Amino acid sequence: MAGFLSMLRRTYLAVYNWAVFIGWAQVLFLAVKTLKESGHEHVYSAVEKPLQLAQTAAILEVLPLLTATLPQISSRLYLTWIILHSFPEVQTHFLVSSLTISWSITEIIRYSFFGMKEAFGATPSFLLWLRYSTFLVMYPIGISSEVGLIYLALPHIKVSEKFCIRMPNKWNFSFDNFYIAFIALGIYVPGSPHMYRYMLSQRKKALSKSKRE
Amino acid sequence: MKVTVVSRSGREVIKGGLDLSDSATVADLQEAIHKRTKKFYPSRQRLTLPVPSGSKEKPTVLSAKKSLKEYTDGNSDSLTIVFKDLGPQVSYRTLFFFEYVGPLLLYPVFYYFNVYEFLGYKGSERVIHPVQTYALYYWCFHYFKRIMETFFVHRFSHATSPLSNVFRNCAYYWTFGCYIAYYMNHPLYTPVSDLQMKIGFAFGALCQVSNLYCHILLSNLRSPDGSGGYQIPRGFLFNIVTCANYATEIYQWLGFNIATQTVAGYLFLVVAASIMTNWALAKHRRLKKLFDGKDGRPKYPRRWIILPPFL
Repeated sequence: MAGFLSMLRRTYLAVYNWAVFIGWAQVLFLAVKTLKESGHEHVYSAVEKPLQLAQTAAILEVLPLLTATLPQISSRLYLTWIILHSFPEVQTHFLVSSLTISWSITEIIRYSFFGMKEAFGATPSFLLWLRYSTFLVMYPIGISSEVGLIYLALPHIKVSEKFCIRMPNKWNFSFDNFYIAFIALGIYVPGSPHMYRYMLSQRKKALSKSKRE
Repeated sequence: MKVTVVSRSGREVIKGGLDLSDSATVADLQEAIHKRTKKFYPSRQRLTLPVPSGSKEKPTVLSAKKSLKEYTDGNSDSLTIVFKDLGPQVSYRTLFFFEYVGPLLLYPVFYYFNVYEFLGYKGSERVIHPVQTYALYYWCFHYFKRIMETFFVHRFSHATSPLSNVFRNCAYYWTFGCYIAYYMNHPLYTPVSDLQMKIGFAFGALCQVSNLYCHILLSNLRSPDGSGGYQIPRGFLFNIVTCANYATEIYQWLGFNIATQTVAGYLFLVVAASIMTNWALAKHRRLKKLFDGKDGRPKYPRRWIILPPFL
């Protein structure tokens, strides 16, 4: 029974990982194609649906804390839904292209890595290398795009008052999206070097382990 | 007796080891290590017996009052112990004082001073509702009580806590304190019905007094020199709840929130309750393991863990 369950789990994970891989591959393909054909202003509308689907699917990850840290997922979801989806004014900016391309490359590598592991039990070493090396470039690009887009959205957040709850109310609660955005930006300051350093130490561990094997 | 002091990676922490008399205690060893290493005062040292590599056993921590001979297994000429630096330490009293003084002093700032105008709020003259005044007294009494208990009631089993905990715990208490105070004293604060307020505060006050009594009972379980170790708590609510002190604390905050009704307050209640529940589960488990009814030890009675009627 235990064996059957674990096989079921592996199949689920394999299918899940490959499905999301295809989602991100689609995002990358559409992003690059639209960039070349129509320019960066149109990238968002081209990738919107597959991006939202692929990114939100991350919530279904059985082991999100193992494969991608919680801050990374929450910042992605924040960008996808609260910033990009809600504020069309920033959708045409070039940073959307750099964001989607860096995200999708990272995710394609990550999901194919895990898809391979679940489906075949092993991963080719070049995939391991890619997984632990592309972040060196993708993280700075992705993080700067995220920060840039939040910053660009700030004036629109303030004016539109979207998602804001004001006093007075029965529950004596208020929520100011504008200040939340500021706090989010603030979190990037210690958060990004921390994540980068974490990935560097993961890289050392993973690549030295494979060398020893 | 020759004592070899190694780090967890096997490296010798004190070159050449230490020479101590055969009747020396662990406390003497700690002093000797401190003398040699200047920066590692005793409360920073975690000394354990080595475990065979690969073994999943938890290492035995050396107890300060025991004599070193108790840890040697027959071969009383030499002993190897493993050293770990716990980092800079502060006494629990210091830690608790700073945690609690923040909410005690910051909350009244929101009540007495016009911080809201400073934060950009432009409005007419502020009207202070009675519930806001009562909330101020309740809140300040609560944290004043906690500070008094820290100095006069609690008996701590470990004298110190890592310095980093000061920053972490103060951030938690002070931030939540300001967060709640902000909404409680806001000019646009909406009070609940008079009856609800009275019920909330009365229930909360009752729980605070019970909480104080629980703390007194707990501290009497331990002897004045702090060597009490673990006992089965008895008397008052402890007969039915293992962690009656946490239970009364949680219900006390519930009373406060019923009377004041802010999302911020309820959020604090949920976070505090989950932290305390974690502690309570661990404590209950520890007590059950210790008092298993074997070897003449009493068996730990069936009790609620923390929050009757749920857990």
